[in-house]
Amino acid sequence: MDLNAHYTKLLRFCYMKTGNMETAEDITQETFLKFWESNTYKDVGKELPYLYAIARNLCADYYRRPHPEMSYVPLEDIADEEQDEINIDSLALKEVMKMLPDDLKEAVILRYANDYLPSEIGKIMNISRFAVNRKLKKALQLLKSGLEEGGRNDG
Amino acid sequence: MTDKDIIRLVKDTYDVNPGVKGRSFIREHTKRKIHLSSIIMMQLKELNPLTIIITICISFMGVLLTFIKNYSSSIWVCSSIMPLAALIITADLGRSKRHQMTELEMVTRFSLRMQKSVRIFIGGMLGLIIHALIIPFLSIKSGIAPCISVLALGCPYLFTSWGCMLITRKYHNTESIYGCTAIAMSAAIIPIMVKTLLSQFNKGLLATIGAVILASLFVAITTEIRKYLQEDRNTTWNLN
Amino acid sequence: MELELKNITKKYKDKEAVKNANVTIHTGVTGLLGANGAGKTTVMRMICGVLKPTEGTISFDGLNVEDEMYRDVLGYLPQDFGYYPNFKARDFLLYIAALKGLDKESAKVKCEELLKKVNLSDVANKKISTFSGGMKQRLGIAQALINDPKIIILDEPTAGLDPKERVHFRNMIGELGKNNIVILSTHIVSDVEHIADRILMMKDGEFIYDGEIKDINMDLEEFYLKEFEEA
Repeated sequence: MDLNAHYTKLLRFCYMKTGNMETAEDITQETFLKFWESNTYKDVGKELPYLYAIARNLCADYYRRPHPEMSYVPLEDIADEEQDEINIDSLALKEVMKMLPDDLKEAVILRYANDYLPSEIGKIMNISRFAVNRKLKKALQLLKSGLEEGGRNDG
Repeated sequence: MTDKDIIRLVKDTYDVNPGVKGRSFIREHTKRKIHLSSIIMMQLKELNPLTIIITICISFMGVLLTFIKNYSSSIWVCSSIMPLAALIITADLGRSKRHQMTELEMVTRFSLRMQKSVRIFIGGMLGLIIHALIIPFLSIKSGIAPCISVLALGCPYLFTSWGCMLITRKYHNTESIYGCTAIAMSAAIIPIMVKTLLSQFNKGLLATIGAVILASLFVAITTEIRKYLQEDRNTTWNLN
Repeated sequence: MELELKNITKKYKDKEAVKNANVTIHTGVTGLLGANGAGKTTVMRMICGVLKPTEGTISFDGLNVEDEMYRDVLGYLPQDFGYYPNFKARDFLLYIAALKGLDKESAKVKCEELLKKVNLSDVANKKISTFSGGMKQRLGIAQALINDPKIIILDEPTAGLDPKERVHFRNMIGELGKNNIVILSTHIVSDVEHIADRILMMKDGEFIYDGEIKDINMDLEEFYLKEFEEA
């Protein structure tokens, strides 16, 4: 298991879920620690789904705690401290992503940010790879309309 | 916006990487475990088998001679031959430098110093084991007390080891092998000289002198080993 | 990721090879330019922990150059290197892999991967003594990468490579520079022109220029000569 690669991918997943780099790193590390401690994953081929399941739960726990970020924040007020320059397109994307249902969000990150194959994503999300492709298609549609709408509103 | 653009945007937006803490975490948990035994195994594998074979042959030749002629002075014969074994073993220590591998080996996690330490350890163990086997046997055969045997075999052997290490450390060319051979030959002649002297001088005196020489050689070789191990980061490299 | 050189000085009895160097190197490809004797190799050797600085410290991501874990993320191609006689290409790579602490399985996989990358797969079982200069150099590059290093130091890496090998090498380095720190030293300007993001220039043991290649608005070769005249 190439820890560096898996860590980075999981980090991106958690970053998408929490919107905050520091939290994402903490959750990623906690996920790995929990993963190594447990014995369940010893089934070959089930490591990735289990890893992401832990991450998903930890991110959900994070959400359950009260956070001011959960309320709608206007685009202009969002400053991503991790970015040296504020990239308008990225901010717009993040906002539109927030509106997507969880399963679509996950599919998008796992496919386009983490480069997992639809079959791998299917295992992680416990659905068929056809379902994955369907979700991706739907997600892209929603993202496209969301971004175009956002563009129209700003213009 | 095309799908391709959106996918590109997703990639760029979420292209985050582990920060300092994250990288430290990854480092902590991918620490490749180093086992001393694996270093030893590796150096053993790299050890020229000829080194071991020749060393053993030499030692047994010394022992064999005692059977053929039943020398009462067999110990001196063996003692003359052993320096050759010391020469072979010491020659192996300079492997890295001879083949210009030092720079590469210094940069590895198993540092060069560790590898050198292991080589010295293996060489030393080889010498020690052979002597531990031969000395009791020869003592019995020649009727000489074990401590005298230790002196008789140890002095020429250590002298050769020390001399060869010194020469290979100071002179990096292939001609250094001649210097080492010269040392080994001088060491080989000494036991024969001593045997002749035995009848003329007080044995006790000779034994004391021998003991002093052995002790000095131990000190000398320890210093030489230390210098051998330290010879890395502070070495002056040729500026070009 | 930052490689920091602070107040680095290297003095020999009769010469000061590196004079109070202060430089921070980031992710990407950094070209170290300078004439022979300028101090490039000395600096690189210090970064690799092969030579101890007379003064100053070198650190990477919180690790000091003396740390074992620093060497773990380091890959180095020296200007000159040898090999144990009778070593075949694969033996050599596996030997270095073992020294770098890779376990047998990972070593085998990585070895094949790298042999393919440097186009030496078909001669993997041939003795290095039969190799041409370019082939040996490619093998050297392979051994530098075997532990997936984050810091890759290459001293005159294109020496002995033919034009085709050179292009292949540039692409490889460009790829590596995306996520790692790559420092390559050379006295051939065209080598760095196409692949480096930053240029460091050295003359007589001092850094006379440290900047991004895109800030240099003229031909790099001219710039190099100009800086040298002025310094």
